Amino acid sequence: MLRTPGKPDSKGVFHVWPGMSIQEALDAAAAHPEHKTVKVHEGTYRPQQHGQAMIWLNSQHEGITLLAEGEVILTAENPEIADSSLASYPSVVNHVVYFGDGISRSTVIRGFKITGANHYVTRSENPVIQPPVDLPRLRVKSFIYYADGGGIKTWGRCYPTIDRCEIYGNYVSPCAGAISIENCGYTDNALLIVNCIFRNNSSQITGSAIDLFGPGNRAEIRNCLFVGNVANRGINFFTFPKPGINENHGSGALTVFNGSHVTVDRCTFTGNYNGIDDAGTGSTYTDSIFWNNNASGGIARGKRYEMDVRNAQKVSNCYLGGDTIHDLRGTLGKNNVVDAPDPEFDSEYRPTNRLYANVGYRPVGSAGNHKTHDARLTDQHGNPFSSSQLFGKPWVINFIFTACPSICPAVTQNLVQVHRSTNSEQVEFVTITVDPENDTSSALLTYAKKMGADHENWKFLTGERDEIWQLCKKNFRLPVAEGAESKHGIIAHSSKVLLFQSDGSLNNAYEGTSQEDMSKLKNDLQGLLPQPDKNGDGYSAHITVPNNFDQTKGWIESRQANQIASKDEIDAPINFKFNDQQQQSGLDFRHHIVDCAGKYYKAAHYDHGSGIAVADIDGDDLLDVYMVSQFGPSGLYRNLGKGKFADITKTAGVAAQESISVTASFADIDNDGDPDLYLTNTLSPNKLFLNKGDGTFEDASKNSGIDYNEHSSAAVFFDYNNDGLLDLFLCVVGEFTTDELAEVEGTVESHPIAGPVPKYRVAFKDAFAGHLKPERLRSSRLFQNTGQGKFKDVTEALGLIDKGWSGAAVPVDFNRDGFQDLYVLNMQGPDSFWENQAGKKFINKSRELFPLTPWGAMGAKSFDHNNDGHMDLYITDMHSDMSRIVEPTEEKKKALWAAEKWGDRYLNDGGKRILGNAFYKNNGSGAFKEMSDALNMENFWPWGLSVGDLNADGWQDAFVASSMNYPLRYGINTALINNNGKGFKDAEFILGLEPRKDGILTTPWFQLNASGDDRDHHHARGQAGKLLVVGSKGSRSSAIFDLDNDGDLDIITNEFGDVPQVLLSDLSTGSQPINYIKIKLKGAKSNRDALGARVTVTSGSLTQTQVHDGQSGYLSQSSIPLYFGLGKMEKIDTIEVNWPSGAQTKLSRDLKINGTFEIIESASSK
Amino acid sequence: MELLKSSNRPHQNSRNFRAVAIFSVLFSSCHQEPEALIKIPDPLEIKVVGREFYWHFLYPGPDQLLGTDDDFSVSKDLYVPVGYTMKLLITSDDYIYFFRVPDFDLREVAIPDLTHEIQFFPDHAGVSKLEVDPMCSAWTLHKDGSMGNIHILSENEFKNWQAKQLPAR
Repeated sequence: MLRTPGKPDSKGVFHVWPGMSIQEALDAAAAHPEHKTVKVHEGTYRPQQHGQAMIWLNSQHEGITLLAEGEVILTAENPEIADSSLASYPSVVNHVVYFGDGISRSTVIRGFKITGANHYVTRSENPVIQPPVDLPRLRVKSFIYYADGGGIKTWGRCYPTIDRCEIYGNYVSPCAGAISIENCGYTDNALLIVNCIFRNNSSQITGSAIDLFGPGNRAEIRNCLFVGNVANRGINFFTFPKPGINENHGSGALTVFNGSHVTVDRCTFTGNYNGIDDAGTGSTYTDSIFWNNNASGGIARGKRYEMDVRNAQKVSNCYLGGDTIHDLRGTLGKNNVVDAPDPEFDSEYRPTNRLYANVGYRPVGSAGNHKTHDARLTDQHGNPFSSSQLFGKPWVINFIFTACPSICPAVTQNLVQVHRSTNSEQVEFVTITVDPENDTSSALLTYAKKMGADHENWKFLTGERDEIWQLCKKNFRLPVAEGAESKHGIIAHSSKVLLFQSDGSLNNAYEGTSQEDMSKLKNDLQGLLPQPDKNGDGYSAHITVPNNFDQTKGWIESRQANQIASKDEIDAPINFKFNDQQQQSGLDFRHHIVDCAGKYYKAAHYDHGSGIAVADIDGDDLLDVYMVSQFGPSGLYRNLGKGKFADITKTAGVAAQESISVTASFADIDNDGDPDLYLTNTLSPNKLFLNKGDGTFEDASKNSGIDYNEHSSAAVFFDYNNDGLLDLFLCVVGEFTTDELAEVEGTVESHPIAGPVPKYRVAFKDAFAGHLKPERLRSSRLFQNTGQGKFKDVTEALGLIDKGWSGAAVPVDFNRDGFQDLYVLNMQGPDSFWENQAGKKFINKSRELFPLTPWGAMGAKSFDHNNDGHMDLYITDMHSDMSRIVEPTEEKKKALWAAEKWGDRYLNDGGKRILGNAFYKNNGSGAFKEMSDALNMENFWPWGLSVGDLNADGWQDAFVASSMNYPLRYGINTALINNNGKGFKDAEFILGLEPRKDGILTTPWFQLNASGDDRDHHHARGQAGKLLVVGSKGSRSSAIFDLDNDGDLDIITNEFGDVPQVLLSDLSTGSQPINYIKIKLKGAKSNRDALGARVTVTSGSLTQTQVHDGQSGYLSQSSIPLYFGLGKMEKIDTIEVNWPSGAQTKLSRDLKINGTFEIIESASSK
Repeated sequence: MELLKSSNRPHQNSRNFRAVAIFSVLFSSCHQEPEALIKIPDPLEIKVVGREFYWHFLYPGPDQLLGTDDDFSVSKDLYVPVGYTMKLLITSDDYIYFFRVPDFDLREVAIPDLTHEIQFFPDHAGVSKLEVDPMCSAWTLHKDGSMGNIHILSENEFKNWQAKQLPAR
């Protein structure tokens, strides 16, 4: 074989071996009319003379493919000829590789290691690497032309393909350690840098790896890794003494100057001195990772950053994290993840953290690994084929041979039909012959024409038999072998057709002879094509569930009209409104769900939602709010006054985002004067956060005794033994989850969750049959507070063994013996009533006092509805409404159909039940009368309720958070206004609580990749591209309190899968002045919160009684001052407090209204 | 050109098929259980591996767990019991194949390094064909036109067959 680089081998390839000149081979290929492939064999190649570059390609070299075979190192270093007195020793060239004007993407450099540049600069034109170009911007070469670009320099109309190169250890002054891109304004095209690694390059000023200097440069950078590159190693002598571009924080691994732009896709930047600084306009950054670009070594004073982007066209699905400033200018937009967690790179910088499964760089067969070189293939027109031509499009591949007497012609014909149905610009079809000796390029062209194939766009490839058979069997896993019976020239091979996605991963396989399969191929191919972004939000379609949403919401309008028309039936004041001010409030919390309530929906207890707790955590007399999220971080918001909040979750230390959370309770557990926080979770330890007094919390879960790990729900703090310490009754639902752990996939991109998230336990598909399976029952727990934040489980000791499916419980003292009893709800069966025997035992008196209870009880509150001094009990029944789909017109009926639909076997309660809400009116002598229908307290899909005097008229009203979400229709919340103790009136429409703000009743629920991993999802059928599934909004829990201290009561809701409603009342600004009093209790012998205290306020003929139990709403406990509206009364006669300790306080003098009383327990009663 | 990576497709939804009776094969009912019969787990997981143009089936052993030391394997013909949910875990050791049982409308692609799961519920005893994966010009392969058969046996017959596959104790 001839081994001079000036002559090609029999296949037309120019070979270069160590000791020979690559440039000679390049020039020979340039001169050759036909052969344009130069292969450089394993070894290290150094410049043999000083000059601008070691090798150069200019317009005469256009179309050459320069390949590395084995590990080929091109270095700027030649110690033998370098001047050791120079700082640039031992490098002897400005650039290792130079690409000049007149180069297109057909000029390819692939597989090289390029290193050794060390800011050597010469302007000598010997040899001439760039012939003169008579274009305005290319007549003169600047200092930058000579000095920038240690590894590779590109200049002018220069757009080569740089593939699978590792460019490392180059240092340049001023800029562009690895690649300098200087198009000088000629940006009709962009060079392609793909599958490359940029490692430990550095620069004096900008662009430690890649630099696009000056206006008018472009680059496309795909699947590249940038690690350890350091910019700003020295002063910026252009602008000295001013620091120059990005004054404070310095430059990055990629620098884009004003007037230039880049496309960066699926790249990883990590461990560089800054990530990207882009002062250009119109760049796009997608699907990339920026992690901890916190390297040192540069002289900029400010903190390191990940991205500094001034004016990009799009930054989307990028993940930024690490000990840096992530989004330096705050320009990246919501489609990215900041504060992203550690990708946990392996040794080749693949992220092992599954969050990063679809983003960032992946190695594709490193430079210098001679086992993974590309097969050399030529198409039917004699052009070399490079697999980089397939990058970014879906492609179809199969194998044939033209002399086939069997099924190849049929397969080709089938594919011709499929090809005709596609847009050839958007897909690539590739057919490779397994008989290359006979199937030359021209034979393939003849064949393609004969078959009617589009031979301009469809590639029929030939090459070397060994390489092709290797490709077929080992790479594509399709068999090929010599034909049977030694029939000469017959080759047995697979008739399968493979479809690959644009990222190079296999999508599916099809039988080439099957019409059905070809039809499927056609459809699947369509699905992989870019879908029109009809909504302008990146989704190819929105799917609203239920799909008749718009047609059916007319019922809301008619209900609104009817309710408003009936206003006159309401005697109580209703001339005020609530206004949702969430957007202005700063309460920007978003509740997130697990996939069992969304993408992989199943009817299970995950859809019960999460709580909201309210307390003044920092003693500033403003009530702060803790919002629980099911998935992702919960949020603590400090009330700043005037209706504004600030997110203090991180500093407070209560995000708890590693758990699937359910309820929150504020209570002063250690009696030190500030509210502590207890958070309950599903199958991770519950959390106790002790308040340090300054609005920050200490995680005291571990040794507390109440880090109970089960399917926990409501946590009721109450003092069962009257020892002055708050004990805990923890409701435990029951086992509704399997052992299977899964990651949440469905989170909507525009509502990303920052930071680490846990896996969650997938629910049983028959979760709501759990009450029929003894092995799934769980006992709720009673914990005695033993002081200093420690608790002891006394469930068995006190006989409180309750195995109902309990989401909630209320402490009550119906028998007025001074000991708190417990009404424990059962959401799938009869409720229980546990009577406290002097703090020593609990006995079950359920059926004695409450012979019939709501079957599906979900929430409860005890309050005095008619001001007779006796505490009544309102239970909301959610589950009885779930036996079938119920039309809006039927909602008020007690769930009469449930018995018929479910039957005694499912209800499993001995036939005795109430199906629907219950209101137990306490007649004072130990008996109750169920009056929910009579008092108009039935509603639909209720979770729980908050009670408060919304119109300040002296009668307690109720806000019942009610709803379901995806996949069911919208359901309204209910506001029950107390009509002077004679019953309740629906007023949610009158008060502006419904319909919701701007009439928006739906919210994004989850998203799907209908052309990719999710194509088997039932919503993806017949769809393609990225889908957004949209579901109904719905409230779960609520809290009523005076949020803005204007004297009237406001409402906050925790919405399932959405942001809260912050409903501010305008009652206090109305024409009628309001009268009220707020009472804050401080126990001394009693527990500090005075939970269990009974307060009676008398003003004239109006006597009101409230028990301070902290039960603020569904799945919630709060520490809120008691609010008494006084109606028209302008003075208070007496306030009487019966403390849990037994002490009594009676106040009758100087009782000013319209403010807050703090009443402190003392031994004396007056 | 390189095969970069294969994307994992999600599990197929379970398909409950009612087997179409092809050949009704009558077996005498057996009242006495032979010795060493082992319980059939439900669902019954069987690993189906394409290798050298035939299928090879791996069954769980007496511990009823697939992937443990007591698993046993057979080649070419698949045996399944009536009345149990079958979970076939389809993969390949060398090439891409199609696993197809037209009578049950089963079709799944077998790809090296990936496993795809399909389910079906045979409720009739009988025998069905494992369809040949076509190959161009491969006339000597699968001369009888099939890659093997799937035998649906009654519960007792399956237990007997299973017992015969296990190593003698």
